[in-house]
Amino acid sequence: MMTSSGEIASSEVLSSFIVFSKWIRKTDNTVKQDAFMPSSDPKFGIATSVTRREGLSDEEFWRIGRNVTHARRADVQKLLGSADLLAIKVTMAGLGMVQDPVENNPNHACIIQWPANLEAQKAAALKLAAASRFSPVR
Amino acid sequence: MSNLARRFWPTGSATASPTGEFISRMRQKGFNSLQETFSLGMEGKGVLNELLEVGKECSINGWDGDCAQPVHVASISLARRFLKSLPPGSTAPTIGAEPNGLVTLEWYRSPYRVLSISIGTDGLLYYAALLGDGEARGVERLESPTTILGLIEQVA
Repeated sequence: MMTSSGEIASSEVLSSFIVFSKWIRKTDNTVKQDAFMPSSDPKFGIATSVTRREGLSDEEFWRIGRNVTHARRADVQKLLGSADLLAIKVTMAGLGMVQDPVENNPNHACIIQWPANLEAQKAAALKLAAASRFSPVR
Repeated sequence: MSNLARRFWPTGSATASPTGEFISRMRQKGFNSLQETFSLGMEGKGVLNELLEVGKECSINGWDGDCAQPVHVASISLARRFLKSLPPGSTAPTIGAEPNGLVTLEWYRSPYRVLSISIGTDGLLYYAALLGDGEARGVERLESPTTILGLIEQVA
């Protein structure tokens, strides 16, 4: 499996794995802001986990997705797909990105530098969601 | 004040007279009856059932396949209270949840015309909206969501 290195380029695609069905709108298969909201992170305070698509085949990407979501909670619903967006959209929303390779996902990265208050976090997450596209799992 | 906000407070202006109080009680009773009807109320639109489903699905750690906290019971309870207080005939939101354990309500027309509210366990409603070229965000008390009611009208 090829892995990426160096800075996260603006043109890269970042993907957030989707397990919870209510994060995808049934009317038009778009992604809700809920899917991009950050959670507590021991390294970065609060962060949103994503996977860099750089250097990954589709097969490798989905294998990572299944392994990662199953490893965390074997009893949660199955992987539904991913919410994909260009890295430049993260910057345009006023947020930062950092590579954060982990044991079962060398392409793991985090969206960081979230504002402190919840309503500002929601505003940024709405912009990420609007710029993203849902890809069903293959 | 938006039309929705005017309908949110059906009792109108306060009055201390016995007649005024009687009229206020009757208005509230009428409001509650309309809210409970199948066609006009949130219950009939299936929203309260959807809230229960989210509460169940998101009751465990990591329900999102990552580090999500279980949805707070207080957030579910306050969401229910807010939904039941919306004027009869209001457009129903869809229900969701965030990794921080808060219930979300969303009114959606398109990716750039959307309102999302997080139901805080502290009785506060945290909202953000994209309105085409504009946007809005803020915090309001559950008992007096004037701006939020205006945004629902703009988006829905």
